[in-house]
Parts: sequence; structure tokens; C-alpha cells
Amino acid sequence: MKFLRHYWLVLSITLLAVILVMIRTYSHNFRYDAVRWAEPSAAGSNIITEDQIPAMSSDILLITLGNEAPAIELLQDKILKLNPESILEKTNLSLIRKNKGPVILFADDNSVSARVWMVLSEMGIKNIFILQDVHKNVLP
Amino acid sequence: MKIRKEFSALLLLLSLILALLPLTANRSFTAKPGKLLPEILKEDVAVTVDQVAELIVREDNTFQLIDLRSTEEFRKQSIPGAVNIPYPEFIKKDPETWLGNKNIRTIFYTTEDTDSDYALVYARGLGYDNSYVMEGGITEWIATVMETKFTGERITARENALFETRRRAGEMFTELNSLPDSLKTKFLESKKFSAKKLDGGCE
Repeated sequence: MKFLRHYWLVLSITLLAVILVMIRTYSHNFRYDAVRWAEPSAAGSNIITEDQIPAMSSDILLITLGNEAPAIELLQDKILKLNPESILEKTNLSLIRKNKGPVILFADDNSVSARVWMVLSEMGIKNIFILQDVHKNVLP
Repeated sequence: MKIRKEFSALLLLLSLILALLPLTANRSFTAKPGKLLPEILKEDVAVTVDQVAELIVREDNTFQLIDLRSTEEFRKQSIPGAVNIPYPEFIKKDPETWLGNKNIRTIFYTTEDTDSDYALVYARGLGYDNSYVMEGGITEWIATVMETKFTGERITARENALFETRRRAGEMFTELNSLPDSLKTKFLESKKFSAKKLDGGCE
């Protein structure tokens, strides 16, 4: 108690600084160090093909950003159909963040999935991939 | 008393370091996600190969073309006036060097893959709003500009202008890519020089 009485001012300043740093670092804005989050795109490690899916964990979340979905039987009950613009809505973002396994993005147009991937990755979402080169099904 | 002061100073210093730490880290996206996403999904962030061809033929100096492919691919074939910055290099180096001039529009292109889309989001996320992508990349350039043919019987003035732009841009592309690397830069400079001479006028 004596310690707290002596240092209350300094401890309050330190605590305030820690809280501010935590808010800035873990808020829903972009993370620091843009290069780090963009690196998988330069290495190509964010791109997956149909053959790699069976080897991934069972908690896959497949997000289709359009009217077509990949014709992969293994993923049929894990599809979330979204408009690219709505991916940052609170409920969708929460689903993505809470998913325990990999999140896979798929779009008819690879440009859309690439752009959305970069935004999500820079927000600090790890374990996120783009699915390319697959047969497609038209969604209802 | 002395120990108390030292401890206080240490804690305050720690607070200061904590508060400044993110600011001294590497660059980060400055845009808000909710603002950036709709912006990069808009159609107007993409320019067509015909628009690029027109800018090249006009020798417009308010834009720059950045070829994000590997150096080997760039040496084999490139669009006149393009600067080669392979994508991995682009994200690692300070973009201010290439994108710092806000009066110049930057157009990214690759073969047809997604590197130009990543670069677009990366540049716009860092606050370089004058960044665009060339739709379809160099593959689309070759299909549209290089292989353009007129097969109809009549041609409208608009079609004729488009055809002529493609033909001239195509000629520049062929001329440039038939030169050895050492002469490519000189070729582009001479093009600018001859255009200035043609502009004429009194000085």
C-alpha cells in the first residue's frame, strides 16, 4: 500500500500509456509493419490450389466473394457467401477472426480476392489464403 | 528518496518508449479499413490497355507505368516507358521513392496475375491515392493493342482513332522491344526529344 501511495502518479501514467498502446495495436484498424503482413503475397505462400485443401485442418472457412463457388465436395458445408464490400461488417469479421482453422477466399475474379486478402492481412488476420485454379459451381 | 526518483524516472521512460514504439516501427497503412475496401473495389481504380496506349502515344508525362514482373520478364518484353520494380522489391523498399510525386498517376501492371492488385491496395493503404492498375496486364496489352485488326467494311471516326492509337502504341512497343537493353532508355529519351521538336513554337 505504501508503495502504491508513493508511486500512484507514475504508475497511472505508465498504465495509461500501456492501455493506449494496446488500443492502437489491437484495434480493428491496420497493424503496424505493412511489409510483414504483405510478405506472403510476395512469396506466393498465400495462394492455394484444390490439391492442398485435404491436407489442411478441418476447421476451414471458405468465403466466396461472388456468385460462384469452387466445386470441392469437402468444402460444401463450410461456404460463406459474401459481397466483397460487406466482409468488414462486424459479424463477418468476427466469424473470420474466431475461425480456428484457415480462412480461404474465393472469387470469380482473382483481382477481387487478391485485394480483399491484402486488406484482411494488413488488419492482422493470419492463416488466410486465396483459392485459385478450381472448377466452379454457380451458387443459388 | 533518490531511489524513488530513479524508479519514477525509469517508469516514465518506459511509458514514453511504449507510447512511441509503434510510431518508430516500419510503415503501416494509414487509411481506415472501412474506407479503403470500397475504394479499391471500385471500377475506377483500373485503367484499360487502350487508355494506357493513348497516354503512351500522347507521351503524357502525368503518369508513370510500373512493371511489377521479374527483371528477366521485363527485359524480354515491356511496355514503352515502364519502370521495372519487381513486386517483392516494391513492398520492401520505401514507396516514397516511386510514388512520392502526388501529381503523377502510377499505373501498375504484371502479366495477368494478382501482383498488381496487391500493389494497388498496398500503395493506396499507405496513402498513395494516385495508384491504379492496368486491367489484364501485359497479356491483355498484347491481345488488344498488338493484335488489333480492323475487319469491317466501314469504320467510324471513333473506331479509326482507337485503331490508330493502338497501331502507334504497338509500333512503339515493337521498336522498343527489338532493341538491346542498353539502347532502350535512349530510345525513349529520343522519342520525347522528337516530340518536343515537333511541338515547335517560339521560345
